[in-house]
Amino acid sequence: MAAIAVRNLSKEYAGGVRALDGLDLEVADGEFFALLGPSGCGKTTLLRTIAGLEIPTSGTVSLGERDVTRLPPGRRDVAMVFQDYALFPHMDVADNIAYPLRIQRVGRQDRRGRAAEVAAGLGLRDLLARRPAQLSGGQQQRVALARAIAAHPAVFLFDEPLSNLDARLRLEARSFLKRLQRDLGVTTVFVTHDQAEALALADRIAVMSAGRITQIGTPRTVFQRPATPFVASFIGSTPMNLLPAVLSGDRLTAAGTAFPAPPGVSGEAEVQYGVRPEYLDFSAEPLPEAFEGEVAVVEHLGTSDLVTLAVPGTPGVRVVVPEGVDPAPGTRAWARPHPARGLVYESGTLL
Amino acid sequence: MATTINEGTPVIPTGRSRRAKVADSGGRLAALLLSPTMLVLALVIGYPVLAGFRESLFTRGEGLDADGFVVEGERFVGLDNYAAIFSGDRATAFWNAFGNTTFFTVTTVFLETVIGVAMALIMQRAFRGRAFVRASILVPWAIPTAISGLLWRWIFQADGAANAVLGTDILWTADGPAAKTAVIIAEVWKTSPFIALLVLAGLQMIPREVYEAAQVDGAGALQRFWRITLPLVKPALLVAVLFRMLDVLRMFDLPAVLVGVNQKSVQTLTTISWFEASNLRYGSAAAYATVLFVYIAVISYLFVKLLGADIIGQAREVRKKPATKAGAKTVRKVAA
Ligand SMILES: Nc1ncnc2c1ncn2[C@@H]1O[C@H](COP(=O)(O)OP(=O)(O)OP(=O)(O)O)[C@@H](O)[C@H]1O
Ligand SMILES: [Mg+2]
Repeated sequence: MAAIAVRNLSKEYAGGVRALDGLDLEVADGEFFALLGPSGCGKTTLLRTIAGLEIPTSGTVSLGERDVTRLPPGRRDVAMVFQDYALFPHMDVADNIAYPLRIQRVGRQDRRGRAAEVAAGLGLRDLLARRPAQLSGGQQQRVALARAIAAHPAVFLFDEPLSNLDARLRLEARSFLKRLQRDLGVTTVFVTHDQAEALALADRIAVMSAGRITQIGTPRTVFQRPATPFVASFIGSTPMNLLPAVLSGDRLTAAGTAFPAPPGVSGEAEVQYGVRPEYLDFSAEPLPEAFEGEVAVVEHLGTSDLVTLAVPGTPGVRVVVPEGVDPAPGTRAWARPHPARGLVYESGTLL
Repeated sequence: MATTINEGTPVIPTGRSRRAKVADSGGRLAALLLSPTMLVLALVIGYPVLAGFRESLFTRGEGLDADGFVVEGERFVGLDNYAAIFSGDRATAFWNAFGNTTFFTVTTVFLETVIGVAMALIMQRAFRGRAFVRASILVPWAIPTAISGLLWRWIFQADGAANAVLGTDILWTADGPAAKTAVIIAEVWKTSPFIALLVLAGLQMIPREVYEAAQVDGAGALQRFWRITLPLVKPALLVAVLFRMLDVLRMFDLPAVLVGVNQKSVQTLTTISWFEASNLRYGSAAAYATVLFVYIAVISYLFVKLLGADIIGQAREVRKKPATKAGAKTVRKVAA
């Protein structure tokens, strides 16, 4: 297996689009690494450059001990799942999965056996004789995944490998991947738009924006202590509240409400105060040190509701409310932040 | 050549049997709406085919009847014309023309396919001046065959460019193996762009990621060509090859202009038929045309049947038609 080291990598496309901008990244041997970021931030470009399908404008890519920057894709010992699958339309599922083995000159019997084995793990057992055109999007995606797995490479590069699966299949495929990756110990980089997936699967995650990495860390750190307001607003299933605030001493004032600053934060400054909707207490009765507003929107999340309060001077404060409370839109309500869970950003950096 | 296919899509006999099958009113309405087309097709395709066949059963000109009287005009001779072609006094000429036609078909289609695919691969590449290369590759295809025949005759004349370049003094346009070569060269030069164009269209349908996936898996350029490119352009390529086969089987203008009709080494079934007709032996000319018609029909039927699993996809019943079409056109062309 192989660690991945990317140094000062830039990629400028022909039209002048700078998709990667001096990016540095180290992925440890055997690590399960997730890449998150908004659409167009360069995730696919990064994977393609690691795979060797794009030649970087500057910078280097190393796999293990080798500098592979100039090596063609076929000699890098990586397997990739493409964002749009890239299955071979003229081969059936079994041949698609076995294609890398065929290139590696594995015998036909062996090839078929291994393809069937991987296919079974991904619930494709009954589809082996079908052509890609006869499969649903999710099935095609699993075939693409199976093809990568069957190749037994040193590095997996997955570009949104589970994006087209329904919730149950996605969960199954997720645990399958996690188990497989642990068993094989293959260094894996995978791109996802689903933070739950990243948080569940990855040893570490990186959040990208505009061709650079904004934050790298364990899912827990990135979730609990996002380094910038951008990461804060990007990570988490319910977007974080980010409110303009004033810090004075160890107290904060936002939207006309004063409350204690998080532990260890003090000073005199104009800041941004961030708090996750999960870390606000909701009440229909007045509470001290709470934001007051009118219930504007109620969204059902299943076991809880996401309530948006129209608080003057803010874009709205979102609160997660446990089920059974059922606030009625138009009524007044209060939301009190947990003091220890707030985050304070001064000119874009976490205090 | 494309017109060959367009004009014949619903061929009469099949249309009729299908109409009988369709009982619902929608089908009847469709048949009604199609009937003007059917009528026109019956007139322009069905009638010439049948008339051509009928002609082949007669002989024209002066002859002696059973009582020793001289008779003029048409005389029914049954299959005599065919008997003469296959084993009678015309047999040598016929089998020579038949052999030439087949030989030209096999050699030119093979060479065109190889060259055409290579050209398509080049045209597909992104490089500077690609638009220019694409346009210039198509020039031979755009020149009328008779004109390119003249062009090549000029190149192949005794003191022409071909001999000058090769440093030989071969009589390219006289009868003999050299004439065959000249015809093949001119034909391949002229029609490779056609294959290239169709294959290029097929190539452009292949998503780039498919190649990239193969590349990441470690497939080399050759493996990608044989295992990815070729199978994926196969449908387009088969259509191109089929069209070309139908064309070469009917080859007329190039050998006629470049070498001349009734030259043994380049005599084809169409030139021999034309030669017969211009010597007022219409019955025998029609017999040649009919034989060619059947030959083309059989070849294209076999081609579609054996290789064409994907040519037309789901439209299975429509399959047999290209054969009938092309044949019909030949007869018409010759009968005209
Ligand atoms: N072949 C190309 N030529 C020019 N620009 C490109 C090319 N491919 C991508 N880009 C641009 O580079 C940037 C990064 O693209 P990339 O595909 O890496 O984004 P991404 O993070 O994978 O997005 P998504 O989540 O939507 O898949 C985008 O602005 C895109 O428009
Ligand atoms: Mg992408």
